[in-house]
Amino acid sequence: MIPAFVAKLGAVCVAPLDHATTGMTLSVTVAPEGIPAAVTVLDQEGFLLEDVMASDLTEGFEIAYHLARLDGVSRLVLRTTVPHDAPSVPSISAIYPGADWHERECFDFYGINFVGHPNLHYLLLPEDFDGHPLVKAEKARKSLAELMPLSYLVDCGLAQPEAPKVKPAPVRKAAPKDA
Amino acid sequence: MQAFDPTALKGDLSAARFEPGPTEDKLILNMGPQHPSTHGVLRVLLELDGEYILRAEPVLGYIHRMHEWIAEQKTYMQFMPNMGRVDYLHAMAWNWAYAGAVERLTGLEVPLRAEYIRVAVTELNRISSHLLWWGAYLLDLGAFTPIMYAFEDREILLDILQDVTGSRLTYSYFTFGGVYADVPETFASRCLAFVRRLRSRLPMYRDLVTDNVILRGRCEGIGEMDVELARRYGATGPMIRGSGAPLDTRRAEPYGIYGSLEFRIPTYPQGDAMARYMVRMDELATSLDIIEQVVTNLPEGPIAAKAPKTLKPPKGEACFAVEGARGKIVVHVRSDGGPKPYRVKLRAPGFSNLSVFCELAKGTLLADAVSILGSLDLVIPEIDR
Repeated sequence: MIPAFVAKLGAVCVAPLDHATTGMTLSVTVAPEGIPAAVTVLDQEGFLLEDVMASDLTEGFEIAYHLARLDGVSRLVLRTTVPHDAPSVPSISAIYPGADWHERECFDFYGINFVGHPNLHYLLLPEDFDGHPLVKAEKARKSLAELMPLSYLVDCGLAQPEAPKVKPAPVRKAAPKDA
Repeated sequence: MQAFDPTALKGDLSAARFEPGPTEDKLILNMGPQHPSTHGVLRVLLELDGEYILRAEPVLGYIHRMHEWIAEQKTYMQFMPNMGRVDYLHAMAWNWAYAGAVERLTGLEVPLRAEYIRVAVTELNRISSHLLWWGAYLLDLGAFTPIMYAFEDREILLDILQDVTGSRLTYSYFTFGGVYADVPETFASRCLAFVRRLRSRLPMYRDLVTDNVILRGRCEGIGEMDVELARRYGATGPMIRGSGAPLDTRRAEPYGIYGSLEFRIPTYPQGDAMARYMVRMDELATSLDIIEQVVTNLPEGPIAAKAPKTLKPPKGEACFAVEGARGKIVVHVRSDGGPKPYRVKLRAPGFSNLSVFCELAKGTLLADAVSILGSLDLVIPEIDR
């Protein structure tokens, strides 16, 4: 079910996803410094980089790289989370030149610093714009537990699987010992 | 080395950062944002050596509207009209991508009649988009007449779609679980009449324009791109199919009823502007085939699933990929269980397609760069979002 190259990605968490209900097939979470190595493996596997999507969560900025193969149904999402006070992640624009603009877009909207990016300036916003519009207020942020379905949280060790409902076993009184 | 002081230079920051290279006698040229061949407001910074382009850098954001922020302020349904404004030429595909993502998140089943209508209107819209591209591209290359022919055909399409949706360009026809209104009774017959008409006109287009020696001269061997380059830049749609890879979301990741339809995916291996031109011209015929299959087998039944007025999808995330006229459209939606989306991400195919331009334009003549830009089929509102 899970392809062999996933073992080489240095994943913290691997969660298979159902394409019929999510549109994606596999979620792989790695540490921010592991992104270039993981993306290099995916590049060698022939993936096409669709986009880079950031989201503002309680845990920090989640950066999701969506990659798809040229054949067959597959959409792999490579995730990493960076803290709000030091949002930096290595740039992958040297591996996928197409990531250049996607990373600049994330910088526009969230202020994420892509270390090693050749030209990290506003792409879509005016140059005299101040701030990053998609950063949420502290109160409006939601955590992964509030945003992700239970199956994903269980796969990543963030929640316990719901205990299956079974009838409680009848309590037996200890048989009196034969004296 | 001197410290970089942007105020010491003329022009805005984009121009200031576009520092001249080491060669002598070069010229920095701003093409756009009001240049007619940039179709809207795209600006390209060019470093020229005579008439040859050494370096090109598109400058974006002139019609940026922050759709992704707007999405977080509105309920799921209130954001639907924005989809028609993202890409005004293929609004139906964007409608579908957003509706599809929310349907996946909510678990809504689309009735069969709605699936057929969705395919029919999306393909009609694809033809109108390709026809406009065709006319405008030739206008860029100096051929004035073809756009008149293209608009004559496109007018019929817009009339058909106006009777179905109520609007002519920025459609907002999809609802979560189906479509807004049923098609009129004359829909099938008008579609079939249009299919016959365009089929009879395609050979004329080929004789009149496609086989024209001047057009061939302007397009063949211009802006060559192989599959590997397309993959690394994320270029999809007619771009990658013009490089020989049969990547079409309708076939690779079937949605709606595309899995049960028969159609050909045109590919050309040359990878130049002419190959992309040929892919789009062949796709006109492909879309006609699809429309014919769909409207002759339109099933009876409801046109939308029952869905609450204010949708509250369960927490989670979902995405939906659609083959738009320009390539792979993906809409990602994250829900926290409330009435408004927590995050919406729009993957615009034109954004990735344009990012290849700096690579394709390197070393070409300025006049050829116009031909390359046209062959990318740019819709700037989609790129800037």
